[in-house]
Amino acid sequence: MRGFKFFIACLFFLLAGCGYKDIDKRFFVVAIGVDKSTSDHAKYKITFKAAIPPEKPSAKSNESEIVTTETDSMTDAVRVLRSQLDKELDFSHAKAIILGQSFVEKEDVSEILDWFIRRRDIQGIAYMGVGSPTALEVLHIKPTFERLPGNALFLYFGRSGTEAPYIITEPLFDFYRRIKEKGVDPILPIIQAEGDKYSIRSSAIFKNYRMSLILNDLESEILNTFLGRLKKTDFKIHADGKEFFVFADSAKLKYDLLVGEKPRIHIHCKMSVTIEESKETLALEKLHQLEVLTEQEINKNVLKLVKKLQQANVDPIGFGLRYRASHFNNQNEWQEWEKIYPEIEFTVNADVRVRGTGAIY
Amino acid sequence: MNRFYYYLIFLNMTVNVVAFVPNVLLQQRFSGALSAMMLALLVGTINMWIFGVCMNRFPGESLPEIMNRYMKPWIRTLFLLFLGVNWFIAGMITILIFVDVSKQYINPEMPEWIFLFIFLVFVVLCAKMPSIKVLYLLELLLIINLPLVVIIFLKVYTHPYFSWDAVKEVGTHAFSIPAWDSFTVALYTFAGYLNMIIFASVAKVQFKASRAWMIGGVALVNLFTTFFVPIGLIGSEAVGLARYPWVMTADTIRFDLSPIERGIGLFLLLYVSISLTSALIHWHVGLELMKGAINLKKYKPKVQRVLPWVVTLTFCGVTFAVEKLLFQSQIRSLSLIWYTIRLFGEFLLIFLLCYFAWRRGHERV
Amino acid sequence: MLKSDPAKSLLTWLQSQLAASDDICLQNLESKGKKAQFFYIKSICDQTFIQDYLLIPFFEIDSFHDYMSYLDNLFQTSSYINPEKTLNQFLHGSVVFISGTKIRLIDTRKVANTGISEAKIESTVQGPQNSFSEDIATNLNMIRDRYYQPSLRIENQEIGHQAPTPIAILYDEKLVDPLVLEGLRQRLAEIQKETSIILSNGQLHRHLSRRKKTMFPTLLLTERPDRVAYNLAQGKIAIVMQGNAFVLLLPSVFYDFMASMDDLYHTYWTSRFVVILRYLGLFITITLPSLYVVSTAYNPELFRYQLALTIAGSRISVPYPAFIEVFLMLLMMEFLTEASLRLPKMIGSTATTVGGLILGQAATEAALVSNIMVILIAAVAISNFVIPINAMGFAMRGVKYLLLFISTVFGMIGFIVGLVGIVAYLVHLDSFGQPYLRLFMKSSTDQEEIKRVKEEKG
Repeated sequence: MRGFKFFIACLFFLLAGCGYKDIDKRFFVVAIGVDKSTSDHAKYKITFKAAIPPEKPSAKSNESEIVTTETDSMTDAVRVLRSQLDKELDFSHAKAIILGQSFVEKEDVSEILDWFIRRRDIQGIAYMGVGSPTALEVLHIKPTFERLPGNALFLYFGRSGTEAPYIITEPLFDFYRRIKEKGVDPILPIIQAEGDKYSIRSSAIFKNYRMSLILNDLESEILNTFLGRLKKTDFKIHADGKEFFVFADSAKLKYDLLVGEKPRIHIHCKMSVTIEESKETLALEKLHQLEVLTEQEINKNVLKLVKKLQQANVDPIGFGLRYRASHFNNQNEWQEWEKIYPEIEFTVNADVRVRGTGAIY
Repeated sequence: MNRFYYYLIFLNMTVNVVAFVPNVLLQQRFSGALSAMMLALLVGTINMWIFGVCMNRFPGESLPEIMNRYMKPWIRTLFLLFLGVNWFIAGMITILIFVDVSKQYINPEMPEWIFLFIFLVFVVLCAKMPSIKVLYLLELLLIINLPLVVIIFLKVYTHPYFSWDAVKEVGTHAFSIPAWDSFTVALYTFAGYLNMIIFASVAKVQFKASRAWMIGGVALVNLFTTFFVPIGLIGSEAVGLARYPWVMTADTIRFDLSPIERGIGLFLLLYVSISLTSALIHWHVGLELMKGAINLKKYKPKVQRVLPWVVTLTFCGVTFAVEKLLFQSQIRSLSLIWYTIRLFGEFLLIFLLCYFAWRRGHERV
Repeated sequence: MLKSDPAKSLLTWLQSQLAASDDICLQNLESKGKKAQFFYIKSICDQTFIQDYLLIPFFEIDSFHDYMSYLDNLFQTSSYINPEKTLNQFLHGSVVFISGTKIRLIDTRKVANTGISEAKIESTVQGPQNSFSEDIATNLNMIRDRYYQPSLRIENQEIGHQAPTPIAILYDEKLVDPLVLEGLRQRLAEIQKETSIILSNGQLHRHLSRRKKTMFPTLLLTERPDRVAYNLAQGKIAIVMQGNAFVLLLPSVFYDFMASMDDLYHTYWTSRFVVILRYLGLFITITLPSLYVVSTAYNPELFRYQLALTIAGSRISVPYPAFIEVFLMLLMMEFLTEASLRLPKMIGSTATTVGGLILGQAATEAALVSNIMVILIAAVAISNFVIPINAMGFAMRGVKYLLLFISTVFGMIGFIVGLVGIVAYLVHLDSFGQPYLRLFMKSSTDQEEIKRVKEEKG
């Protein structure tokens, strides 16, 4: 009896073991690019950037293999590209998803997004971006300072690398959430391919699943602060003949939605800054004046941004969602909001405190 | 109060995070889930309180022993069998969901029967341990998993992308009519205390009424987290499309400073051990109920040894069959029906316990 | 019965029982009207003692009556009970003194090895350094010397029906659990019938635990007297065996195997820190090989991207799959460990150096293993020996292979279920009625516990 049980147990063990694949038989795809196809018979042009592991662990290299094909769907692309590489494609470390600029301007983004969300191995925290001029070119870039293939892009977005203020980090789950949600519009950073380096200085806002507005660097910075993702930032203040730069290590931009007779959004900004660079020596007594100047400048810039958003009828900050959240009228609150938004008034109030002027006056 | 009581309740609350509960609640988020949850909170706490007060009259006795005193044998056997089958089905549902999640997220290329096999081997072998050992194992596993729960809890509430507006948006639907499915499912969160009908014989508990409110508070936090956190992280619209909302929520967590980068890895680790523990407890209780139903101690030792095996292997067979024959969607709808049956069973049990406690009170006089 | 009968027939009976061995000595003495016969085995008895304290006084003391009272007042003397017991004591080094109708037995055992050495296996930094010797009397002496309690009770017994080995059972009457004691006595009686010879406490351990094929030790073997004293004070039972430098302690639970006496001798936070280290070491030694296989072959998404690439890079030229690589390296490590136990001292250090070099550098250079593997194996091997009690360390060595096998076949799920399964198995074990693994233990012997378990069983 015991021998029989043992035999059955052994049988089970022999039959199992599915899914075993050694790590050196896998090709890790680190970045995926989706472009609009240049030919007629296919819809998309899909690119995979697969990492080639370094020979010795100490010798870091950023060699990668880039394969591309033109198909109608992601699954087709995977099937085709599988036959071009000798190892199994493994998407578990695909941390960058780049959509080509021409693609997002013309096509519906939500169709291709379905594959990314449905699959279990694409990380929900994969970074997304718009590649300019095309995703393929962005993927081809191999910066010389990069230690591992594809790493530079990850470090740009993850906060463990650079923390530049223009870079809007947009993970996959957040993009998907914004696409589906009523009241927030999706945003993506625009990654510019410049020679052998990336340059991320602007961002794109989507409406109706297509790209509809591009923001420049200052606007992206303010948007970033609005979204609460950026804590450290710096501004250039140019007013009253004075020109100086302030560095804020904790900037908060909050808003209140006041609905009544005249709907109004009141934005208040609270910052604590130090002077980073100045064209002239600053007197200590003049600090209050500096504060006032900074406040004015910030008010101006923020107002410009929200007005621009209002004009283009996009809402990346989520005013619509806030409106829905504060109203119990669930039947037609969305239609109401669509009427209110183009007319709504914005007021900004900045509260800046200059903490210090650095090492010298 | 004995710590084992708290463990049982806490276990049920934690396992609900990955069972059908979030899915059902979130599917009905715009049509009455919130009010159903509040109602279930109230009803559950009251149930727990009544249960505790009744069990206080019978210190150290488990349900089969209590029923031995006051009920005719055939009603007793029938009711205990019904309860036993209920508990087995509860464990079975946990196992089936586990198989589905594992196949979807952990090892897509492995056939389902292998998952079932490993899981069932573990549950069957451990459900036959004596009750006190099962409680020790529960304690050990819960305490080991506690740091994981705490980490995920903290990470989720301090998530930089958490959208409180979406949460408030769903909150504005709070005044719809409560939905029945959400009610039954939210009530299941509390059902951990029902396991005490068997464990009362080994874990001597003197139930205090004040603790019921404290447990109610914890349940409130638990339900709030189960329901609102996926909304806050995945969005109030997209969350309706997720099959396992909490696994998707865990996928949004990033650990910047640790060797494991994706939150989903940690979450699945936690989930597997909690599922194992929960299925183990349910099947153990079910087995003990069945043993009590036919009063096993009266039979010969050989029968005593073989019968538990027969029962558990039968249920293994049923699990395998269900897994093979039904689709996930069918399993889901059948489970929803089962939740309703379970609810009636719970109310019936409480009613019977009140009756027994009344009889006991009159005996003393 | 005539009084002269037992004495005369005794000698004849004894001689008929014994094989005609050359070291059995029968001395007939006559002096000043006294007649006596001394019957003993030369190789066990202390000749000097017999000469000084038995023979010389025999010739010096005049009256027989005085000599008898002298003899009776020697503490080694005991009176005659029955022929079988006499034979037994005779074999253990007693001199059988027969004179007329008086029969006396004088214990003159010469012990060959009473040396007290330093604790080699369970050494501490600050505590006492002595370990037990191989003589039961010396060991009892050392234990009594540390545990000055009137309630300490020592029961002498013999085990094995063919070649009985003397053992002593020690316990503190006030603190011991009577149910455990009862269980022990029953079990010893059963063993007495079954086994012919028991040579060491380890063997006794195997016979005492009810299951035939166990991996985890349920009774503790220790060579330190302070540990025995500490455990006696907690209500445990100690079994000392003649010819063994190790003492058996029961009941023992999982924590006893992970506790070293150093925990009592260091400051509070230091000992807490060391205990945490031990559990970390235990965890690492069991899980690291399986974790490697699982996180590279089944789920590479678990760890960071940099790690995945590094491992992929280092495995490029390795000819066989990951689990074989792990298994081979573990095997080499086991060979090294086993061999270092038996190497003669001269070759010892050379072999370990060569082994380390081979397993490390050369294998990596020859691309037979990846260099991640070398670090992994070193970590696993070293953390195995963080476990203070060897028996548990050896058990854990076996467990890691089991876990490796399950993980290789079933992947991540197998790994987690295997880990939880091991915990469940430990919880399910019993040590003489005490639950083996439990999170909060007031003390190792818990009266309520034993009763409850007994009730459950029947």
